[in-house]
Amino acid sequence: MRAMSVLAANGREAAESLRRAGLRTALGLIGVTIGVSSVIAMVSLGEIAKEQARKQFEALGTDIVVVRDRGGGVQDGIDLQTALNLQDSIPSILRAAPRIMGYGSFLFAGKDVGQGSVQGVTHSFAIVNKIPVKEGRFISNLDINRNYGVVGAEIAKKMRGLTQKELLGELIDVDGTLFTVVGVLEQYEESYALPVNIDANRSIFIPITTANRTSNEPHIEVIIALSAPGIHHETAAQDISNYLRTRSPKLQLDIVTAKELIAQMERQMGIFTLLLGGVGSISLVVGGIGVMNIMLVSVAERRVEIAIRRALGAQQSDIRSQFLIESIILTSAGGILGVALGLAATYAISQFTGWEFLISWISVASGLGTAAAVGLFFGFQPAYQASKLDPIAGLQGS
Amino acid sequence: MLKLKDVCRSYRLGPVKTEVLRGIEMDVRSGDLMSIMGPSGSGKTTLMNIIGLLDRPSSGSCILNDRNISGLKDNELSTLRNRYIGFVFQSFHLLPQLTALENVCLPLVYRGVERPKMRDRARELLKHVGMAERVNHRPNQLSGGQKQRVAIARALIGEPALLLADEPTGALDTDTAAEVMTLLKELNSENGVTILIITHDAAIAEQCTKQMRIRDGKLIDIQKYNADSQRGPEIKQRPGASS
Repeated sequence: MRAMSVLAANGREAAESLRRAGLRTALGLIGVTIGVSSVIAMVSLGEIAKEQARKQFEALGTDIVVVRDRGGGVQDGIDLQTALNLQDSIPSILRAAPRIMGYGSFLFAGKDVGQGSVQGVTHSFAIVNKIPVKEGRFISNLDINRNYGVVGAEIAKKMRGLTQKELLGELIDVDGTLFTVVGVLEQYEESYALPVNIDANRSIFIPITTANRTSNEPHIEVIIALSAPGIHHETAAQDISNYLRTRSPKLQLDIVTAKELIAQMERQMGIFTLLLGGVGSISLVVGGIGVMNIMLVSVAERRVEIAIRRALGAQQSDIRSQFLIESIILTSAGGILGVALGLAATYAISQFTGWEFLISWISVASGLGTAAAVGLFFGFQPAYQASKLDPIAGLQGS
Repeated sequence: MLKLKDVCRSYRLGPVKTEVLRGIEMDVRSGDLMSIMGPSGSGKTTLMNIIGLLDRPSSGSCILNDRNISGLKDNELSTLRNRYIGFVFQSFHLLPQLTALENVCLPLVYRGVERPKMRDRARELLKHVGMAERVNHRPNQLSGGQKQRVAIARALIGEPALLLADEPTGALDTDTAAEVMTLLKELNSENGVTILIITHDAAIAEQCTKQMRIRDGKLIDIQKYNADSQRGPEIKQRPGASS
């Protein structure tokens, strides 16, 4: 009863005391506001970046399994026919897109139109990697050993600078071999989520059988597969590995699944967010020290007031709670302002970077919670000091 | 009501021990209007702190309502101060951020009285000391005499056994001082409030029914003191020096 009534009175008076301290209160408020807002902004940005990365992965499909030949294909590489049969031989995968990777210089109408990858692929490659075709068609499974090429957007742009005619049906020279253009690609946006470089804009895609014949490094470097619906990605990975190894037992394979990559990414982003939050917390601690400083000055300045209250019957705990409440109110107000400022900053940054703005409620809750905790922690020492002041000295001091 | 028996208080500053009070004997009875007079440095304030339960004697006993307070803890002393002592200070000691009403309420806040009840009581008391019109004024909007009236109302609200006034008129001009003294005397004679005034001003002390003097850390009754001091000059007087 007594404690509650004192607490209520302390609460009523705290706001007025803070208001009277004017500039000092404002400075303390600014410190905490900046601290909380930096925590909120940092953690929110971390969360937004994580969400952004997760979306990229999911746009790509969580069912992707990437198989890489670690042996470099010197001996006993992945057999071409085996790779081509993969898609129809294993029920747990929907598609398999093998690739033979080469490099070349491209000439069109006798002029240089750039250098880039010459990628020997199948029809599945465009589907698995969501490569959009603008004109004509992509490589077909019927283009066996044909000198057909599908050109990336940047090469096509350079070619258009040299001719008024349609590109389809034109011939392009790849290191001395002529290819008929059967398709032109749209601008392709590389996904950071995929552990395979596509670089479609500056590449020419040719039938894998042709690449096997013409490339100077005719080995299958990677197979990008999609697991069948309802199949666990690890099952698909295991099936692919088993299938390839029964044909070439000495194969050294690296298999990564999208789910693993996402999990890994989320772990890394989690650490990243934690780190950002940690950096933000430093300013909150600095803000807290500011509050402590302000409260210490306030206690020193109000020694007479404390002594009067003690003379009128206030117990040490009453004085302690009075100053604790003041510092908690101060930091909580700073917390509320900080949340608003932090969210505003996050919004501004997300607008600027083009990321999707989202409110991390965890960071808002923890920002407010920490602010109050900072008030309690950094307010305790001044409050304790106030409660231990000698009332006799205080009464004579004025 | 309040008895001091052989109360001593000494302070130690490094190796030096200063004895401020050396065996105070005192008996305050309910309804007294008593003054303690003495020059500055005579131990007045130290005595007031002990009577006001802000300080403890180094030796001797201080008995309030048959209870020895010497061994009590800080919290217990706070509670006793709140119940039994009403303070009036020379420099008023009102809290500047609170209104007159809120200042008067303070002792009851620390007693845990319900808010409407204490505010009603505070209004009554402010009216009683002639401050009904200034209930919501803050101390900086009040004159010295008005502040001391508010302070007296604050001292009375807890219905203390003893109103302890330390130089209550020290910061006031003569007329206002007289008004405040009149108020204190009325409270004593009409409301039966026990009042102890500590002062260095003989004109104030003389208005009290019991008068004590503090000298060399000891308390003596005014009659005895006067007898002593009248004898003193007579002896010292040289023949032929008088008119």
